[in-house]
Amino acid sequence: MNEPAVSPVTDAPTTTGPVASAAVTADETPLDDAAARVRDAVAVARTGLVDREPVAELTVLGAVAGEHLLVVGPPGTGKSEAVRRVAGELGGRYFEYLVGRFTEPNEIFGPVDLRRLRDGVVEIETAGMLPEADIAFLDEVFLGSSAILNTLLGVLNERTFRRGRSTLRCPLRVCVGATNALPDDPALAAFADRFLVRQFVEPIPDSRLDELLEVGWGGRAVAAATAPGAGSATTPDGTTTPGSATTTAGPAADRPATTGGPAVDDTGHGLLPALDTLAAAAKTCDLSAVQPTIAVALRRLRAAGIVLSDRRAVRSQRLVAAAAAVAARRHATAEDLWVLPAVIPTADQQATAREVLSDLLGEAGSASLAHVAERLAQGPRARAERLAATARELLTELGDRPVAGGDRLRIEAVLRELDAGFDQARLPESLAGLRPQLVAAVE
Amino acid sequence: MSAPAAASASGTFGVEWHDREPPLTPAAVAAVGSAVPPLAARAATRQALGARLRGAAGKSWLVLLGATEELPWAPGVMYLGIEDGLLVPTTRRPWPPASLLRLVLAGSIGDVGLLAVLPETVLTSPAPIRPVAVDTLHALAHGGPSPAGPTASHQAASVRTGPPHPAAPTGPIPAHPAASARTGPAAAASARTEPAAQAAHAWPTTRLLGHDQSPPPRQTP
Repeated sequence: MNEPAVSPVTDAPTTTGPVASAAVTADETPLDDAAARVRDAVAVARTGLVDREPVAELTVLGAVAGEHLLVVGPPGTGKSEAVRRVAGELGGRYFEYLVGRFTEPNEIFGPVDLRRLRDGVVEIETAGMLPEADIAFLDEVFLGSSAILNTLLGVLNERTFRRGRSTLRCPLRVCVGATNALPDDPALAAFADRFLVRQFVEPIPDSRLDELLEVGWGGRAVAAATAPGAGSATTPDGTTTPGSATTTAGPAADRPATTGGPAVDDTGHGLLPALDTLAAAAKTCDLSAVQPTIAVALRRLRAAGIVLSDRRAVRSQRLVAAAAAVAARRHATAEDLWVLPAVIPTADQQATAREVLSDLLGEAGSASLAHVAERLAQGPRARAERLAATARELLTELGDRPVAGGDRLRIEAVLRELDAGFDQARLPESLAGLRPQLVAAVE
Repeated sequence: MSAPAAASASGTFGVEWHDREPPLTPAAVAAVGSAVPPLAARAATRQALGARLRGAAGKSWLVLLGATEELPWAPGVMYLGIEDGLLVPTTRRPWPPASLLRLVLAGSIGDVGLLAVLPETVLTSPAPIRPVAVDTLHALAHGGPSPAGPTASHQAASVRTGPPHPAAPTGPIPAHPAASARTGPAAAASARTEPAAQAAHAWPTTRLLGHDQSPPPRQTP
């Protein structure tokens, strides 16, 4: 991470969660600064991710919106790695667990405090467990027992942990749940509905296999060194052993790469203050300019047979507001509507939604969360923003070194995508300056 | 569909091009004139790395087909996607629609394998089946047309009267002989269907669609 170590960007208290920090009044300068810090952290987190950038970016969006993310896809597709990287860059306490059918609540929420039990009081020792985490990843979340899911419901909905006599306000910014498939059981479906944001992942497409192999080999050591769980239950290739938990704190890059176990940053919470500044801005975001468009979108979705629950419909505005905050704005515009397909519950319906809403999403895009904005909106602006981000990162990475072999192929791939996606006579502004640089690099 | 009907009544119509969003997935890349040698050079590099590009070439044009991620980039090329059996620019949508254009073009020039409609030119060739030989691409890269390149109307004239360029193959670009040897009798049969003399053509779009009143030559079997 290029940012200096912990330095809160506002006077927001660093020991409280989203609820407390929502009271922070920040002027434009801290918002710009916070947005820039988070944008840089996202850029670092997604470096080396192949086709999983949207998961990393949606994790950040969810954290700003105060909404949780459900990632649906087959095992071994890098879901946890993407979240782990974001957590590593943002700092704070991270909790990760692979839930199984026989997982007991104390493995996730903490064991009973035996000292208090001697006094006849059931209290939970939550230190290092989910109730005290800022960012959490629960793999195979729907395999949890009813005891786990019921307790989890309170944590997700109210940010409150209740068990026995223990009641604790949770600092949880975002919980990312992962599953191979959406549950059919109505009871589980109701629980799944608490995850407002949905991201469906597939195995790496053919077009990115070369990149996967290159990054998977060359970036392996980096991934192992910077993962929050380095040296603990997380293996270098990003897999997690069943029933294992990882809890760390502090931005990964601020820790020496040679540490043998999860280092704890006791000096602060990394970029969480910046994240909280954005969350506070999102809560007070002016949505008046886009609410009519959102209503049109919802009606169109209903007409297409996609009926969102009232809860999802209302909460979709939180994502729009979060997108505006990440863009350092206190008012939402059509640019922020790329988030709308993310609240659609199934993959098929998301695809339908993109078609139905295509004209409404034409101006939508995000420079900071460019990959997921393109994936969801699929409009020209979002595509241009993502291509520009890719081109900038590639040019920065290559620097002044001679271009040959694989580097040349990577530049040509960007140029191919650029020329196949845009009429050269009418290149978007974000790409007009970058294309000549790319061409010069391969000539 | 009033526009095509009106056009049909007058006996002529042109192609209008509109922006396409989202763009088509690239399935081919085309180069005309001075863009041919650099594209051939980059394709040769890709092919040497294991890509399986197929191609067709005419005098001063080259079309390469393959998987999107294997299509080379070179200055001045145009990427093409498939719409209703036609290769059209990925960022443009033709009017009349591609399905109708294909019918009209088939009526004008017969049933051809490769049919690419560019804004100014229609490129036709028997379907390229086998991967392009690296040697052939090298020949195109070094012995292709002059950098100035003929205009579309010049190409049309050469279709009627001009001999093929000595260094540039016309029609499907032949695969490397070794590839034919590996694929056995089937490849030999395929090769018989792809004689270099079965010319590839570049037609001005306007002529094929009726603006030029002289009938275009039909391909002979």
